[in-house]
This record gives sequence, structure tokens and C-alpha cells, in this order.
Amino acid sequence: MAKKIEEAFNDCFERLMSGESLDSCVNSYPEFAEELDVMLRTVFDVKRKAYPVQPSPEFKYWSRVRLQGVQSYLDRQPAPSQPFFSGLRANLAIALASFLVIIIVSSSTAFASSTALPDQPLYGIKLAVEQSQLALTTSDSKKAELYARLVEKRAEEIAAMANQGKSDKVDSTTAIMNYQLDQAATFLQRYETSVAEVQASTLPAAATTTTVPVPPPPPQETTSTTTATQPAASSVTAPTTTTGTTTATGTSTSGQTSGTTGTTSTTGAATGGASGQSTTTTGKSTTGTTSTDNKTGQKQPQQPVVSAQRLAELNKIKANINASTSKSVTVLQNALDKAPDNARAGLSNALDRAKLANQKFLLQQQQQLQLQQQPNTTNKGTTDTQNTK
Amino acid sequence: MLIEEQLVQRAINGDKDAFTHIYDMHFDKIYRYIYVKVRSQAEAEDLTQDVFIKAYEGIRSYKWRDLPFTAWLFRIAHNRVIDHVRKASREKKTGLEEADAISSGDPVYMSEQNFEVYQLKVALQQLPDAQREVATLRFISELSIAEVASALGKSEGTVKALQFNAVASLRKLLYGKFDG
Repeated sequence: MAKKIEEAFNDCFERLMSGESLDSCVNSYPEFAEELDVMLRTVFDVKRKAYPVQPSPEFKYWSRVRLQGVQSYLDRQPAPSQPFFSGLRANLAIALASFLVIIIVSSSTAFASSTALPDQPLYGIKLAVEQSQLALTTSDSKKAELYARLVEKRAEEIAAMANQGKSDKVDSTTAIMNYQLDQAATFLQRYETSVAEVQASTLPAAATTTTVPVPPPPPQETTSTTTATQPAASSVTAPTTTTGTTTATGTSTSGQTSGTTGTTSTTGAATGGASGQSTTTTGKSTTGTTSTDNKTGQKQPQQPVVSAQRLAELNKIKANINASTSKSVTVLQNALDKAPDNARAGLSNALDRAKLANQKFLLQQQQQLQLQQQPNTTNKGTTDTQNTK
Repeated sequence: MLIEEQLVQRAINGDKDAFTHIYDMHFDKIYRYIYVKVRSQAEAEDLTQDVFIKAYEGIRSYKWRDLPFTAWLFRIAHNRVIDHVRKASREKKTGLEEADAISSGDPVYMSEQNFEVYQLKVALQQLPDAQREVATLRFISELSIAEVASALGKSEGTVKALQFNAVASLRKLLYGKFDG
């Protein structure tokens, strides 16, 4: 009896793994149906719990490169006696192997590897060359673009492997492509965050600083209207001037304002003046988007110019990444139409992942365009209010 | 199996590409097998790399007729884990929970998944050795009954019995019920 249920359990488990339904399987053993049902559900819960246990694509990728380095290293050792290697600790061997990879990369072999496919011996070197390119790229935006271009390469390699029916290579290259898609998204996000920080530091100031344009005041008089949203701003001391000055106060972290001869000083202000007016900047460029012309009282935009440049660059990067992922989708889609049956499942996975990433990047770009429009509207609204006043 | 046998023979003859194929076929399974037996992701990663380096070092002396390749590879993994655990037990111990918390990436995203994996690791640790080995090889690394039997040097009938008993024990440990 016990042996029978063990056999029945194993048979059902195998059949379920092949795609048969639980009911159909359990019903074929009516005498054990209830017990089998409970046990099989337990197994599937165990498998569900264990599902997140997967090596990260990054680790798999580097581990593969490292293994290839070790292979190259070991193959250069004399076969009969290996006292040097056998005496080394594994981590030292790995370090030496990694060093060897760097040496190989720096040789002319690197050039020859540029067209290598995943099933070719030089492919490991090709990946290592790409890693060195990434290591030499310091800016987040450039890294995001480079990763997107690498995704394009991976898509072409996946298509080539699928065309040859090498499904295992399709899967392993897809793992690398997925990792590189993630990295492209991560570095783009980082760059976006840095742009958003600049935006965040400029927009509130524009919204909270209200400067009333007034005619030149008589000597000993200054007019400064500042919405006291921050304690520092309320403590601003208007400069005393003898030549007639309108003083503008930017949102300031210290509230330190000085002016003697018709100049405006704004602490913690802009990253650069756009209109050549006399502006003293102190400390980190975090606040203050406008300054007031001494004579006309008109607001002059400063940081939005810088922000606009960064936003334009961000848009360009997103467009490039979109172009790369769109091209990858096209390449994979075309390959899917021609792929042999054994490679279709893997190829389909790669295509789904590339499509998903492409849609995500497109959505981000649309959101970016909307965000770009919003600050303009806000600024315009503020100015209009001021003019009304 | 035939394809794997051919690949292994090519790897024995020094074909590095064949070994890379083998590596791709078994990497995830070996990683999962090790992961549930050690304290952290970092340890699992180090040991997984070690297993494949040792396999590459030893493949020229490997003979299929003595032991199927998958079984041979998992024996390397098993021995490597045993060595590691012995070494770790001589050093300062870190709790499973602490090690998992350290190894996780995004704490918010990972916490629930980590907890389930942690629960599973704890339950597996409480099983008798033979049941734990069978459950890990069969349900975590997804080996066939024949492969598990070869790896453990037991008959398929014994493995099936151990498998059934392991599931009954896991049910009790995970949900406090005993049905089997």
C-alpha cells in the first residue's frame, strides 16, 4: 500500500510537470485521491516558495566570463604536473584568471572578436571588451545609451542563434540581454533623477518668489515683496541703497541678502546668470530661479535655461534608447517568423522582454514630455499673476 | 541525455565550448541546490563558481560509465557545500535570518520573497539528511528520479519513498499538518 502511494505520487508529480491538470491526475488514483491532492499541493507550494531562488543575470554573466578566463589559464598550464595551480587557493586562481581576461582584452584578439557570436570561441572576449567600454563610460546617460546599444547587439545574436536552431544559446544570450535592458533602465532612471533634482530645486523657487515690478523708488526706500514660505526668506533684510533699487529675494537657505549699489544678492542661487546682471551666488546651486532687473523690475530666467538643456539631452537619450529597443524588437520579430521550432520558445521570451522594455521606455518618454510642459505652464501662471498685480 | 553525453565527451577531449554548454545547462540547478543549503546569496555564488571550476579541472578524468554526469556534478556541489559548512562552523556563525537580510537587494520588494525562501530553508534543515537531499535535488534543482538516485547512490524505489516522506514532513513543518 505504502509503496503504491509513493509510486502514484511520483507518477502524478511527473505528469503535472508535463502539463497535466491536478484533477485529471489525482482522479486516475481514486483510492489515494484525497491524500495525493494534499501532497501534490504541498509540493507545488514548496516549488513556489523556491521560485525566487535564481542566480541573478549579472552573476551568471560574470561567472561565465570568469570561467572562460580560468579555462584559458588552465589550458596554458603544463598538463602532467600542475604544482603551481594546485598549490593556489581558488580565489587566487580566479583573480589571476580575471587578470588574464584583461590582458586578452587588450590584445588584438579583441578586435577580431567584435563580430563573434555566442557559439564562437571569441564571444567571451567580445563580452569582456564591452565590459571595459562600460567601465570607461562614467556618465549615467552615456551608460544607459551604451547598454541600449548592447541590447541591440544581443538581439542580433539571439536572432542568429535562433536561426541556427541553437536554443541553449538563445536562452543564455537572452539572459544577458535582459540584464542589459535592466541596466539601461537603471542608468536612465539615475540620470532622470539627477535632472529631476535640478528641476525640483528650481520650480519651487519660481512658484514661491513673487516680485512686484515697481517703479524706481525714491532714495532710502526699497520695496520687496516676498512670500514667506521659508523662515529664511522672511528674514531677508532689504538693502539700503542711495541710487534707487528694486531688490529681489530668491528663496534662500540663509536669507542673507546684501546690496549696496543697486545689485541683488541671492544666497544659494542659480547655476549661472543668463542675462549678465549683477548676481552674487553663494553656496550650492539649489534655489532661486529668477532675479530682478534693477531698473525694470522684470524677472529674468536663469536656471530654466540650464534645466532646458538637460531636459533636451534627456529627451535625446530616451529617443536613442527607444530607437535601440525598437530595432531589437524588429530584429527579434523578424527572426521569430523564420526560426525553427526548437528555438521559437526562447526567441519568443526574448521578444516579449524586448517589447516590454520598449513600451516602458516609450511611456517614460511620453511622461517626460508631459512633465516638460507642466513647469512651463506653472512659470507662465506665476508671471501672469505678478503682472496682474 | 544523448546530447549531454556527447557534450561531456567533447569537453573531456578539451572542447571548451562544449563545457560552456554544459555550464549553461546546469548552472541554475547547481545554484539553487547550493542556495538552500548555505546562509547567504554571496556564499551560494562563490560556491557555484567553485563547483564549475572544480568540474572543469576534473572533467578529463571523468568517466560516464561510472556515474552520469549530472550526478557527478551534484556530488561535487554536495562535497563543496559540506566543506564550506564545516569551515563555517569553525568560524563565527551568522544566523540564517541575518545573512538573508544582508544579501537581499531592495528590502521592501524582497522581504516577502525572502521570508518564504527563509521559511523553506528552515523547514528543509529540519528534515532528516536523506529526505533533505532528495527534496532539494528533486524539487529545488528539478532532477529526475533516475538522476537523484545516481547522485545519492540509492535505488529509484528508495528515492521515491524518501521523496514521499520528505513532502509529508515538509507539510507538517510548513503548515503544522501531518497528512502523509
